[in-house]
Amino acid sequence: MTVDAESTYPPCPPILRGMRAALGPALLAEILHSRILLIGSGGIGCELLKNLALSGFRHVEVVDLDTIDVSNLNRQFLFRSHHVGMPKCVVASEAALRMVPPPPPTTPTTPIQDDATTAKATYMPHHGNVFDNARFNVPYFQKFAIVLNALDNVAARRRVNRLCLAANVPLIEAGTAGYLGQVTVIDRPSNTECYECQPKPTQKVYPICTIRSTPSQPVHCIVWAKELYKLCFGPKVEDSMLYEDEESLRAERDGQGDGDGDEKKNDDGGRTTTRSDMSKGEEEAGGGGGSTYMDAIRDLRSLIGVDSSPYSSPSQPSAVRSKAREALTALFSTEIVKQIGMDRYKTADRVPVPISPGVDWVDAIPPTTREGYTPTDVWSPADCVSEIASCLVEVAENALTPDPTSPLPEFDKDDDVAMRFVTAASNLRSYVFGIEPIQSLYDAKGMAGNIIPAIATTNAIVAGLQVLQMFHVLRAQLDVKSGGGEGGKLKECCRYIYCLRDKTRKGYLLQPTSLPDPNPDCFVCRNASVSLVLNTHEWTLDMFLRRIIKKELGFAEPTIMIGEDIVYEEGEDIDPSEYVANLAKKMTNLPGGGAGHGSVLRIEDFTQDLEVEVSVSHRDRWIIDDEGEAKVDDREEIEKFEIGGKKPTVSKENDSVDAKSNGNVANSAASSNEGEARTEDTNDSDDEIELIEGDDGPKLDGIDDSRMYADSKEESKKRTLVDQSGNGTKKAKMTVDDSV
Amino acid sequence: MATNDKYDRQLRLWGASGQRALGNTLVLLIGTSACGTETLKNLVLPGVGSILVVDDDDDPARWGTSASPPPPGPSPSRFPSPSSNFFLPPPPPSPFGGDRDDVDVDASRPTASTTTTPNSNAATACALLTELNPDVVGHHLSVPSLEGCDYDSLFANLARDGPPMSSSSSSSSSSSSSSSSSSSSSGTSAPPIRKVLVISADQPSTVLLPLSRACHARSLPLIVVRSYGLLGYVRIQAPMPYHPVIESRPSHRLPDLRLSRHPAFDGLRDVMSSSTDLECVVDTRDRSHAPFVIVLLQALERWRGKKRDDDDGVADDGSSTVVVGGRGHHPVTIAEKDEFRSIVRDMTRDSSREVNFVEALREAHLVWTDGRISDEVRDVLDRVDEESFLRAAMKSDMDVEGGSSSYVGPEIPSHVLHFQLLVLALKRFLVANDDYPPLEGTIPDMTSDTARYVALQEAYRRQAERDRSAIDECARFVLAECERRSDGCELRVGMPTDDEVRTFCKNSRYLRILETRPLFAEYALQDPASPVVASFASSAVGGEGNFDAIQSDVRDDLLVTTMEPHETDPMQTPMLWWIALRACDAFYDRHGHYPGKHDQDLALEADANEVYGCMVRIVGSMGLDESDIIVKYLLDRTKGMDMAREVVRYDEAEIHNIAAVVGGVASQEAVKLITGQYVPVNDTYVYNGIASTAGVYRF
Repeated sequence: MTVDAESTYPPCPPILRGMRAALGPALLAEILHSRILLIGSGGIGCELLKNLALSGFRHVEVVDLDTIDVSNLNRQFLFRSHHVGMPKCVVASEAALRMVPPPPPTTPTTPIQDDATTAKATYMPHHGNVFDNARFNVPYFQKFAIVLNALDNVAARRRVNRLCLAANVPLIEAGTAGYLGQVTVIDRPSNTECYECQPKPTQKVYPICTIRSTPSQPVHCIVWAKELYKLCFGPKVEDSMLYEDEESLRAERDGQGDGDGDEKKNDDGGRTTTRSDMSKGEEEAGGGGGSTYMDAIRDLRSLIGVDSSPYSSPSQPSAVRSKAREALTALFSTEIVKQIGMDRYKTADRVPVPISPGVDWVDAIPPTTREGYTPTDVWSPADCVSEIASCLVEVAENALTPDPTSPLPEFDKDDDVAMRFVTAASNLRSYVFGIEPIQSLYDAKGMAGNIIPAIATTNAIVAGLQVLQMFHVLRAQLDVKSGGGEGGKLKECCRYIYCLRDKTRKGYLLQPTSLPDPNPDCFVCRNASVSLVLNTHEWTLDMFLRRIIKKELGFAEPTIMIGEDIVYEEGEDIDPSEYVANLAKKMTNLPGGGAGHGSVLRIEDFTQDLEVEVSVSHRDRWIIDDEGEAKVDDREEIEKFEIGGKKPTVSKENDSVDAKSNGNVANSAASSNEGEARTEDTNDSDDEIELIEGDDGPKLDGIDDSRMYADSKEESKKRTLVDQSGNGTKKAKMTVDDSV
Repeated sequence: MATNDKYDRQLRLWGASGQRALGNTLVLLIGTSACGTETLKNLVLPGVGSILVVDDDDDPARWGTSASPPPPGPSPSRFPSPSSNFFLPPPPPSPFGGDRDDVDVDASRPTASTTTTPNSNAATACALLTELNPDVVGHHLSVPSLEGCDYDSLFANLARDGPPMSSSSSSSSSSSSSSSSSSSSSGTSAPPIRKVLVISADQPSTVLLPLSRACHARSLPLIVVRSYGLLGYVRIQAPMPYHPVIESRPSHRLPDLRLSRHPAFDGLRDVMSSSTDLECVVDTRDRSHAPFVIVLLQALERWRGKKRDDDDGVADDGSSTVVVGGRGHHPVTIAEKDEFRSIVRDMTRDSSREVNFVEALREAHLVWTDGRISDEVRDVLDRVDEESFLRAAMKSDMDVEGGSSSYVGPEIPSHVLHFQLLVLALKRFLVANDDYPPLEGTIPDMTSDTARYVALQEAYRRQAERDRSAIDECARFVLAECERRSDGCELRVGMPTDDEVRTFCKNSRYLRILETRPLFAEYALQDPASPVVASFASSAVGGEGNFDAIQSDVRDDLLVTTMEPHETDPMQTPMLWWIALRACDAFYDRHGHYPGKHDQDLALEADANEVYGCMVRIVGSMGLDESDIIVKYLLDRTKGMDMAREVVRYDEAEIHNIAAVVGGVASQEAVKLITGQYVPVNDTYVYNGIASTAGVYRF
């Protein structure tokens, strides 16, 4: 290096010297003073923070809800084992801040610096949920030059997408799954596709009857076990698919019997139970309220402290064990006998064999505490029972703790108790129904946790690409500022980039394509309208609000209008009691003429600057039952709905992937498409993806592979972001045949 | 499960065998550029067994802080900006310095902030890298000069003694002879090192050429990583004779159903004969729950019957028609395939209910997918013969003596011998089985009732098991034959385990090998006039093999690639930028420094001119000077000079982001080489950060 102008000044930090050489002083100055918002500080987030710091960014805020877990340490390299349990964003931004080079001093070759450049570098963590509208709202987003997404789930991505669209801030979105990854730029002024323009494959759903009565694959038992977990430990028993009350039992029976006619419309008295309500098949069910197991479950819940106040005295382990045995007997024997009695399995290939846990089973030492235990062991029925009993005892013992961290109210694959419980319960059910193979804890975790494989290398690539896209965005913003042009030109400089595992036909492993146009039917960025089909006589406003407006369309604080009439509104300054009466009303009975067939509702969400019209159609018959299949109860039929138009329908291409990956409805006897109901898998947390069991090793790193490959080969315009949540990766097969 | 939790997410990608392979590997890093340490970071995190960081004695303290200005004169360092490197921070605050007191690290581990004497680059990088994962054993070695290092004896010592373990760390750092080395293991016993992988980080040809030859001679895989301004590349030099890939994991894997084979294997025949003709089945459920495999096989029966009738008819007519294709066993021509499909369609009664028939129609192509060994696998098989296997398998004198003076050529590594043994077994199997490889034994999911699905599954599984033991027998036979002929000389290869045979059988349809030319051969071709290349060539020890065949193959390959420039902006085609970067290396060979070390425009322009000259010379010696894209965008002086100016402008800067991307790619390829899963890039991955695009070439 020859002596340059700076040798008479304090030198430019070497790293910034390199940046200046390659990017030019003007862009470097932009980097030094721009404010950046990073959402997520996990695998990609750690890489991003390091890259931002070492690129000279001085003003970064990081939002993350998570705390550090052991399974993060193989790739989230800013964390050490002694950080486990601490908030990710705090640890990560502290580490990153220490890497930020000092700003270069003013020299003849660098432009005059503003305050933001010379001010102390700040990497500010926000340990919180991006859904918290009081903190993370449109005005907050507007403070930033660029927003970076390093998220692992669809819900949060949707939220950030909408806030960025509303705030007119460019969003650099990324996702990885195994060896695959994608990076794209979303910018409303540049007229790019938004995150929600393309359909996100939803979770594989199983017919409720398959889960409850006719499982044929291990994954059905896993789903059932997760529901059982919810039933035993969830805040509300009603949330579980296995919850039974008189109403649903009657509905079920009605669905079976030959037309009890219009009896469906039960009046409010449905909760009382009379012996006469029970139909022939249920007689074996024995005592209690018509359900074979609900009483035992309720007792169990209060015994282990789920339903009682946290400060009552803990139950005796022996009492818990004996109640556990009672509940398990109900679930795996009495209930099965009842189902057999109802001729559920007349046409089945195999009639389930009830299992009654022996007294000694619940008292035995559970497999996970035995010597020589490994997570790939496969448990016997007795092992499963002892494992479940010991999980329950542990929970009961922890009930005294004011803030029990385990078990969590929601199933979490990284919670040890939850995983042991689900593995054991699922396998016990597999034994009853003769389903193979029995899953080891390791395998069950893969299936139940919807785990996406994640490795350091892909994260490194994707994060690097994201920051390079930032440079392009900043350069474009700089051009606008210096009067060189108008905004909204990001399509000219930014690219949608796939990281592929195999090279494409043209020899590229990274495939940049131009940023696609928005889907004209996108209700998020195009304000297009949504068409909705449901039973308007049965749906209440409350159902509509929770299931459609909030869950499906992702509204946070919706205002619902029919014509000029506001029928529902929520938000900070709104008195919730005002519209409570409407919530219980059927759609057709709402003010403003009701929301019957052909009516149009307007939904607004001020917090996301979102407005959408929903045109409603009525339908009351959905399910055309395939002969020989178990009948579906009416409740299921009433709750069915279909969203079209705007909410993009699944494309042809998805069909082919579906066909390939879940042609697997495999040897399942119950695969009537029409009859599929949504399993209420609200576990939207982390790494959500549908996994099914496989036959040969952990080999398939995401079937999405085939899809991305096909994409690039056919130059198709359709694409789907790969989420770590795997929503792009519809399914991956995995089991390990090697021992761990 | 606590102990395995850390690796849970990756075990699901590469499995326990992949994790074992990682744990048994020692990764050598030559040079501590940002790109090199990023690569190593991505290998330390997932738990590679141990690392050895090698660098010369440059003191990072000179560079890291803003307090002391860089020394005047031409930079002795190839890494002018160590602090774009996460693992070579400015000395006082380490990135993790703040809470060091509560870090439960081994006190003996040297870290940037705890030792008083300034550490070498190698020691600092090693300490910070191993801090990422306590499972990884770290070693480091400082040498006076990477250019003068004798890599061959370094590797020989490694093979004999393992990585340098002892020797006090700081005392010898000033001595002129090589090595201050220390181990920063946390006291746990080192895992067995079965494999060594070498990574060269941003080294000029003065280091690369001897390193490349030493790796070649020792059959070690070498990955060259480079990040330069907004450009970067990863070059793989596979170990001799090639890198075998059993688990190549193609992205499209056809189900191995063997429908075309006639007669079908016994188990499948049994399933067929026990299932009733679907045409005669009345029960709709019975029909709609028959696996599509059965539907297809019955349709095939029908088609064969029809074919026979037709042929008979023709024969009766006395006209001379030749029976076309598939020996009449399965449809071959388009007309025949259509015919077959319409048979399936005719069998379908209700396509809205009979999902299985819809599946059958969709999967009809499986009936004529031959299932025999593919040409690519055939090429792999042709590379192995029993004679040369026997020669390689016998313990050589050299091995016994341990001397490398009588060196004649790379010894074939034992895992390759293992692979060759299995391939030889497969060849025998194929002869006995009409060229059909062992059955995979798994069937895809399909609409079916459980009973029939399970029966089918069982039939395939059984046959696969039979095939596996046949392969096992073949391997035993080959081995016995070798032992018989080896005159009592001990063989370097034994019987593979059942699991190994099983994995091999499952993947035998997709066997691959990766064969590359060593880097020194590539450089000799591209820039023979370089003083470095010339003097290296004159020191050649011989016996390095002749790569002309690959060379010309490579050129054809490359010319094909040039037909497909970057879609929107051909200037951004990665290959062009690689040539510009290669020209910077050529510049270094001649001047001892990289271009762009001036701030007078005139001098910069002179550098650009010389770089452009190198570019033109290089495409000439590569034989690319008539390729369309080269002529239009590189030989066109205006455009070519623009590229030259751009790389001169970089002034050797290493941008962290580019280093991070290239390091990510390099480590991904390293994992492929270590685990033997997936086919690594062949052979150069070029990253163009200007347009965020990348390409794979064999230069």
